[in-house]
Amino acid sequence: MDADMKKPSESVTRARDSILIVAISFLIALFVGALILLLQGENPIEVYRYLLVDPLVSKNGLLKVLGKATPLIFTGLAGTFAFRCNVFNIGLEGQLYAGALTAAVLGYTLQGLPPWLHLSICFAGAMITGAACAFIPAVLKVKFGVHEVITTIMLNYIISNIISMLVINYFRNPGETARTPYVLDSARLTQFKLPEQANWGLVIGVLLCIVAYWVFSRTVFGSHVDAAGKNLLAARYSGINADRLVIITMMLSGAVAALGGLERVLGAFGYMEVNFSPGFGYDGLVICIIARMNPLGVLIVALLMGLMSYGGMNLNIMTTVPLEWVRILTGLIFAFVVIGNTLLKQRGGILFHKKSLQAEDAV
Amino acid sequence: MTISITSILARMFASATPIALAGIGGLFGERSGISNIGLEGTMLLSALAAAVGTHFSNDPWIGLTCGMVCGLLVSLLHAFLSITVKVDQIVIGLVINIFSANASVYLLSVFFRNKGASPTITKLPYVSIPFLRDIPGMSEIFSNISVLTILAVVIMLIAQFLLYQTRFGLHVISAGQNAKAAFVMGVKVKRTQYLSVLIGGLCCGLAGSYLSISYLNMFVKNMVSGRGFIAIAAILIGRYNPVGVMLASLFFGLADASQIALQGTVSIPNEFVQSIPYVLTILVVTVNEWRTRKLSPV
Repeated sequence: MDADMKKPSESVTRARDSILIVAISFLIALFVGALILLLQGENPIEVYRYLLVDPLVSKNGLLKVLGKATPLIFTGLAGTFAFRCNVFNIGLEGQLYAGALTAAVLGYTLQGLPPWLHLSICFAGAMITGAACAFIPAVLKVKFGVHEVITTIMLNYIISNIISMLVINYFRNPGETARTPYVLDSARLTQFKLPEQANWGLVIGVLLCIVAYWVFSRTVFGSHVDAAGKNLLAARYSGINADRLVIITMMLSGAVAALGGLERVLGAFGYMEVNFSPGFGYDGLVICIIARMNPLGVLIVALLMGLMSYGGMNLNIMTTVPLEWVRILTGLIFAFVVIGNTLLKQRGGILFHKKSLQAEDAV
Repeated sequence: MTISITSILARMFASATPIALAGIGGLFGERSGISNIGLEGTMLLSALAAAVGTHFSNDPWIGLTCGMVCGLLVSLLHAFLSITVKVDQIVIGLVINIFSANASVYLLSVFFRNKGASPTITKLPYVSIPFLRDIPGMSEIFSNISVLTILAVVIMLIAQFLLYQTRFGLHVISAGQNAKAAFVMGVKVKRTQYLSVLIGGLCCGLAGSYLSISYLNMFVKNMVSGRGFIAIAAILIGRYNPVGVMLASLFFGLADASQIALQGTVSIPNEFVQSIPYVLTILVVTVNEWRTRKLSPV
């Protein structure tokens, strides 16, 4: 009994376990990554220094890391909203592009507005477009039972086609191949220090994560989302309108993903280019799963990914290791965390199964 | 450019082949109760493996073998994680898709020192089918057809037989419908599921290889471009039945063929035309699910 009293609360254990799993997965991934490097005849210690330490020792490097992490904070958080409700929004990439284009077009066409109004219009426009893109698969899921994995992936391809058509035919900067004109100064998110890309979008992203954490841990809406995500049937019987929640969380998810695109356009680049995203949307999925759908965890994991993303470029310049090697490392961390989380959920995992569980385990 | 019906039909078969191969293989996993949304990634890595094998041996048949082995290995990983470790099936599919997309670009740069595409390689042979090619008007289709397209038809027949006429097929279906009941009746559920997922992997290997050493003559970054997910749509629309999946694949093949034929010949932008297969996928799956809902008792 006494031992029970001393146990830390469930949320603390969960957070501790998550951090432990991510840390162990990261170390195993680094080890496997080192083996790949040795196969290629590289020196792993030197490579890891360029990847993980070098960017953090200079102020410019830090700013670059923050700049790289910002869109990932948005997409990671966007994934969290949908995944919490057990909806797999794989359409983050498309929603991000839709938001980016809206922000860019509103940013360069609306003239003579004060910055606060211009920025508000851009934010509203991007969020509405992103939410609209997510609304389609959400309604198809709720009304017809179409699985969102198929619809969101298909929509990614459709949106990407439509966006390049729009940019090339209607919003192209004269003289450029596939990008919009620069947005006006009144629509720019100010950068902390040129040319490192880190800008006020970072602050907005961090604030959003904190708000989301509060929503999920302290509000009725958050607890309903979690209930619907964990057991849809039970949630329905307790009177929660799960269909409405699916639609709302998907639209929130799309809106936040769109802000990720807006941040790149108004903050980092100043214009929108076709195919500017190296997969921020897909990275967002990875991040929110690694962070176990915890908004504050998303923040930490996104920063780690930002570090690896900038470190990877560093590596590409300083050594002969290709940029894509870092993506292998990310993939490995992702896989190990997913396995670790599952083993943890099964209390003890495959290595320590009790005898009595074996009949159950056979199926 | 004039559009002839036979050339569209020929393209229909060419575009339907990878979807049919992946779909017919993938339906075994679905039938046994293991969803695999990682078909896309499995195809991508297999396409690369086939290209690498062909490039270094200069023999497309060795490339095909590499593609099949790669498909088997990736699906073995999927089977281990979803059946033994019991990771959420959709999450593990995501892991495989994202990891494959990342790994293929990395391996492309390791093997070919190029980040966009492999050098051109030898294709698998295209053959001419006696009798069928003599049907008036059909010569364009049947005198120049990929061996893998023919194999897809053969695999459909084998799959139909395997699923409905053999003890193994019965085990697959029973494992998917009620795993516990099947276990009590003496079905080795896990072994059946492993085999089903591996069949899917083997067929995905063929589908991926088809893309890089038969449809095209090189590996191109992200060359699967949604076909793995369209194959899942084909499984749903084909009602988890090999002949049905083949018919659904032909439908998607036709959509892709008309898309290619329409490009540049109509006054709507190419980007819209290219989206036709994806839009159709959403529409057809929606209608299909809606009908299933209406038919099934609540």
